[in-house]
Amino acid sequence: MVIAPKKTRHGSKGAYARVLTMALAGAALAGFTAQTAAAESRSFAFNMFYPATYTQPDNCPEGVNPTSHEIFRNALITTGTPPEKAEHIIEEAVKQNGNAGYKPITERGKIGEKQVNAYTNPLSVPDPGFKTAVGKFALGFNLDGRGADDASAFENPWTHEKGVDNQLFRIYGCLANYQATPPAYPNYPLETWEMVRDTMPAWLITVTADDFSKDGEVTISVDRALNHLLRDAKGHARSLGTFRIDGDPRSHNVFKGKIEKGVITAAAPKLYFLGDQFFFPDFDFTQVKMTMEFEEDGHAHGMVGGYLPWLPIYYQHGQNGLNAETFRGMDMVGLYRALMRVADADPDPATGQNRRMSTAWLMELIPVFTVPADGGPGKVASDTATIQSARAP
Amino acid sequence: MNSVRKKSFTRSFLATAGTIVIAVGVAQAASEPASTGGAPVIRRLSPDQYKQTLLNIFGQDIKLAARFEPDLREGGLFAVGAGRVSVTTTGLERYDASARMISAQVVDAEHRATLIPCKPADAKAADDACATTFLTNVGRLLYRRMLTPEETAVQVRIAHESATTLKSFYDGLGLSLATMLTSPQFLFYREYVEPDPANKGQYRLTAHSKATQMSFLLWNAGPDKELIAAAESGALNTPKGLAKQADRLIASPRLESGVRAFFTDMLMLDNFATLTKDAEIYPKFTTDVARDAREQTLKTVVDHLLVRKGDYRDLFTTPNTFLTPILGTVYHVPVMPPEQMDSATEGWQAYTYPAGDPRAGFLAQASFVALHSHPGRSSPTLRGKALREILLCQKVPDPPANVDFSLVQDTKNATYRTARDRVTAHLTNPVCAGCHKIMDPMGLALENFDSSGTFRTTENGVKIDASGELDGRKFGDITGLSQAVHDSPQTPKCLVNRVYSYGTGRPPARGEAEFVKYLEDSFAADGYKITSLLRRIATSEAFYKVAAPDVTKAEAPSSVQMASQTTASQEGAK
Repeated sequence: MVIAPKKTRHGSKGAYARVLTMALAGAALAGFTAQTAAAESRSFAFNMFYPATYTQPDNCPEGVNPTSHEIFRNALITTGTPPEKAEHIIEEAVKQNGNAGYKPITERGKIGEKQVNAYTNPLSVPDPGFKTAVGKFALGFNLDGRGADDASAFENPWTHEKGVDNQLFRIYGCLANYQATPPAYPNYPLETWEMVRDTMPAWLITVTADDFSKDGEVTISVDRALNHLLRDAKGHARSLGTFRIDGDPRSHNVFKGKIEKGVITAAAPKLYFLGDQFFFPDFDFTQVKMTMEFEEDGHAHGMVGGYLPWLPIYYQHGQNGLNAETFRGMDMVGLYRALMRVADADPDPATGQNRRMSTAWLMELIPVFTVPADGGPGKVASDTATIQSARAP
Repeated sequence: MNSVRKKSFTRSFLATAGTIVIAVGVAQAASEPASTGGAPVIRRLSPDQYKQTLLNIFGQDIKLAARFEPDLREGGLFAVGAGRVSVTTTGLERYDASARMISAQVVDAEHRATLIPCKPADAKAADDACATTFLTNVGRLLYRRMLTPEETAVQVRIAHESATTLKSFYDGLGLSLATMLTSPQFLFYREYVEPDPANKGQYRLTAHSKATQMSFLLWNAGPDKELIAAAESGALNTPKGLAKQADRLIASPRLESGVRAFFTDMLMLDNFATLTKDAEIYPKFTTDVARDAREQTLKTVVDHLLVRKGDYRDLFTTPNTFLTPILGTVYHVPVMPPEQMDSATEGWQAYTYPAGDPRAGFLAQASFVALHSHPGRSSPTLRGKALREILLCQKVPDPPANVDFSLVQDTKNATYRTARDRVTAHLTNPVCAGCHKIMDPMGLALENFDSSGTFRTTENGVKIDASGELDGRKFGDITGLSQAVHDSPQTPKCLVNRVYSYGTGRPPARGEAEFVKYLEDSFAADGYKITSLLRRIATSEAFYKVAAPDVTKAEAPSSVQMASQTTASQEGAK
């Protein structure tokens, strides 16, 4: 079963040893001493983590969402500005090249008689409409278990699983900056990831099994590191770096899964890890599903799905709403209302408004060594598995 | 026993008995044999010697940003080539620019209080008394001897006239200092010679030149005040005084600078400055990696030879080294990242390879396998040649002008998929075979390391055969090669040859053969300890002996002959 095509654009793919033995080192270093002596572990760092988009021609029958100029014009006109004046305001704003000129745009909200910031008060502006994706296919998982009976769900184009829940794809699917089909990356997520990965503590995933060559149970741990990825001469993340595991329990997750014909699948009630304010401050998945596959060169790839609270998704973009509208073609008022509209889980008992939405994320993983935060050099130096990693074919 | 031998024996005995710290672990060895000495040499300071000397004199916070003309490596050492180079007009401009920058710092408001031992009567006018005090003190360290009265007068006059013109005592003093920093007396160290009073017809270095030679050998910098004082008092001309100073220099933390400089020179680690790798093939080999790989070797050398006081030969087999996180990604070794994430490429840590790990020992370090490879491929030939020439001091002939490298360069050749296949095919050419046979069998044992220094087991999908041979001793991989180099009697002999050449600035002369043999035997008897070897040399009579002009005539270039004719009467210190 193929869970995602191999990427060649973003990852450093040297002729590495099989990770089997290297992961033995990782296991020992990561403190997985509770495993049996025969157990083997493979540790990875997230080299890329991005929304699983699978753009098809029929996703946006009415076209993609408008670009910034059109967003601004619509915003001004729908809030009562005459069209000619709206054009003038936009031209002046561009000329001034500063936020002050954009004030009529950013403060297009109205509460009573008071003009307010539309990004912090998105419901103070009439819904401008936000085009969401339709179509048959989307990457992701059947999170709610409804399968083919779920008319609003997608079909996974790789596995052909029915009932795939990925409402985040509906949100991003008609934004030009997010449209991509693997192995291509959606542009904006790639851009932000490139920004944060040189400074953001890396995310780590370690898989442990008795024998990866046989079907059976696996244990998966997901942690945040204390140090970040290092790059090589081509700008790719260096594999086989060593990462200290952050002892913060908030980013420590352990759950069970299974390996079957080389493909790992797992489910967990929740998965949480801290992120970065320029990317996502955190990921707070519920009803998690995961699939993962090792590659010959020691790398791995996979997909994580689960329900995320949608308000942080809005904040991630809305923290600098003018930029989102200017450079991402993302009408913030429309986004907010669309998120409310397509959210499909965790209804508020009082209002009935869903607070979470189904999502799916693709991950590319590079092999690394992991050590406990308080692990010392002596422990590393005494590890005997390292030699096996070097000698592996 | 003739008188020379008798004195040597006595000196050796006294030196050994009188130096408890150093004597511990130094085995009984035969007394020093007679030596003719070699031709005296005038050497240009290396950039590192220039830097170390000035930092020692003016303090570690003096900023140096000089770029000098390239050095010349001869006989495997820059230290030998230093006696064959001059200074071009462009080079002099660089020295001048550096001198002005340094002298400006010495006299600036931040440093003058600590570096200038007196204050002028008027800061806006010349003050000859204060200038004399400063310039004679500093000049003694820069020229490595007392200034002559004439030299002092010239420097004071420069300071006086400049101060008057510039209306600043300190600016004038700075200009005078700058002229000293561009003087040949500072930029070159020449060996002053005097008749050996104990051996008629023979010559030796003057006491000041002894101090200089000892200091550059052990510290890679000019002598300090105490060493110069020992020269001036005549103590350096006594075995006891010589040993006392040698022991003091060896016990100093500055010895590390000297050992680093020697191994940087011998192992040609300067080549890291221009080492490049094809980023498409070896993307992990970045400038950070090159910087750290060089430092890894130096840290390993210092730790093994100075801290652990280890056997030099064990450098080739020791599992102990030092790594950074970024080096760990090249060697595939887990290295704890530092606490501070901003310094992720730093954070040195001691590291011990498990027993039997092929990555243990110097030959497995990037300083050898990466430094002696091509940008896009490994090279059994370059590695074998380096092993012969650098580590065993054996000269490998240059390739013929019409050699055809096309096959060995074709790493994608469908028929010859490994380096062994390609060099074996190359050896079908009998013109090439002769030399390759003395290089490739060792180099092929390093084929488990690619051009970047990363361990591998296959090349183009074919399992690598890393078997090899060194002088009749066969082995299966690098572990065997490292042990063979360790066990080769030529390995410590080569080091002795290099250290002595490094200290004298020339290869050993014919008349020094017996002394070199004595050093080799002593090195073995002392357990191949580098400090013992350095002490043997620094306290020997031979190290400071100078061949009589007629002895060196046949083997020295004219410039050296001229230098050899310089007598003590011409030396400024007298």
